[in-house]
Amino acid sequence: MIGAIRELGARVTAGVEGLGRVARFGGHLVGAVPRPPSRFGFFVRALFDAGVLSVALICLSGFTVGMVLGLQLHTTLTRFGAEEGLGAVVGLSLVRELGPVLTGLLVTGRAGSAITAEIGAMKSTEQLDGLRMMAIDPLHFVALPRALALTIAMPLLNGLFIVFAIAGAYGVGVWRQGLDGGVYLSGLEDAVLFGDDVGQSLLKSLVFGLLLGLISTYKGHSCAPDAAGVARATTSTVVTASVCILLADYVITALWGV
Amino acid sequence: MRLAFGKRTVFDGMSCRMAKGKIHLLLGGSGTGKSTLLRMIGGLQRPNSGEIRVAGHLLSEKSERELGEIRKGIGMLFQNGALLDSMTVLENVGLPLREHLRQPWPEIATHVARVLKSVGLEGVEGLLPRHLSGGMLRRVAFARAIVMEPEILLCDEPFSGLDPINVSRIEDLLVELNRKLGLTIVVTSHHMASSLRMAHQMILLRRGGCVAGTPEELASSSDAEVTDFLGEDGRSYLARLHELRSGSAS
Repeated sequence: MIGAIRELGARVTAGVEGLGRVARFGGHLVGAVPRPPSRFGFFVRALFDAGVLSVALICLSGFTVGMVLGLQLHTTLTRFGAEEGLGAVVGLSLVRELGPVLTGLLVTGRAGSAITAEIGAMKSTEQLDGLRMMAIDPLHFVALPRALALTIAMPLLNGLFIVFAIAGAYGVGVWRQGLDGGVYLSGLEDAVLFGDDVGQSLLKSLVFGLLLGLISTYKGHSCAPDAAGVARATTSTVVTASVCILLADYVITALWGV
Repeated sequence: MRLAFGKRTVFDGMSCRMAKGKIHLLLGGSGTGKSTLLRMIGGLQRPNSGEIRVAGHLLSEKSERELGEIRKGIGMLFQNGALLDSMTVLENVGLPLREHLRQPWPEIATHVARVLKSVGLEGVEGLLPRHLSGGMLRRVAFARAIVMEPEILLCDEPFSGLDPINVSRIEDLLVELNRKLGLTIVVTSHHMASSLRMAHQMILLRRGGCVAGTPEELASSSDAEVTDFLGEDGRSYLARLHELRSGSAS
């Protein structure tokens, strides 16, 4: 019994220590933002890796999610004689919830894990120590451009996901189910408010990008410097970031007001 | 100083001094802490207790930013090169020049080409590290370590993976850097002939501590561990070297 309590205590302490380390890492990262020299070139390269290379995945996923939404919601709404509301329901659910959350989860799997694996591999091959020995801060040189790129890429990819999902739902609702295209689009336009809904969506994706940037770079920097350590860190990034995104989604929704 | 990783003690009561402007050779079997000691001199690893002073700076008291300032005067060659694999040879070797001296790239390219030539490499500036052989990679890493003309050079196995011509080239370069620029050089190596030829001081790591002395002192040592490590070949080589040096001095 005492052993179990001790074990539990040790785990809680380790968890709190871990949170403290992440917070310290985040503080260093924020502190590194204004410090010269500019890492604009590395930032653009990281933005390409995290953003441009995720475009195909985001567009395809958005379109298929929209198609499924269109099919499911049209069938359900028809039961209540409310199929004209398809555009509004699709728009609101995508802009407020599905867009930022699914984009966050997809980018976590596609780019967040890659960033952790890349930084972890750099650590295990002493590239980060090599930078330190050249008096170059690895946090400023490696982590910062990648974390910023994820933060900027996430809202843009979220917008892309939503547009393609709305198009997918339009395709199914209008061309397959026979709903009038004007009805779909006017319902969408009336229901989705720029300040309230689009603003919330942008805020969510920005926060998710920040969280993913912090978690993926931290896990890479703190992993054990061997193949197993890098693999564990990559898995941990996906799990931790996904849970954090879902939790943050609830918190933002609750604070913003539904 | 003392250092342990978990239950494994690497250094326990280890104490040694390395004179400025000399070439120091770290010897010892696998796992005696040669690379770890180099990392500690570079401030990459802190001891559990005790002090490490480099050029008068007490490393254990320094923050990471202060260590960065000290490291500007230290070059380090890592065992596996530690080149940035997403950057070309030019970008790797020129990185410290760009970061600290803010030199423009055309100027950096000229400087880098000169340093690469000194390690026997030409026309490799545009290649990525994955396109280089093991020996070329080590020489590029060596070029990166010396490009800022540091006061202290830490070399972890500088001759490993090199052919005899390049072993001799790197050895000559180390001796020249030491003579002309007064560089303090700390080398770990299993390449006994080259290491013994250039070393002013030898430090044999053992059981958490060390034995230090000039090559001649260690060659004539009656300590069983020292004689075992140097072996018959090493001692006779040192004796021959001693004779040659005394001959050239007289």
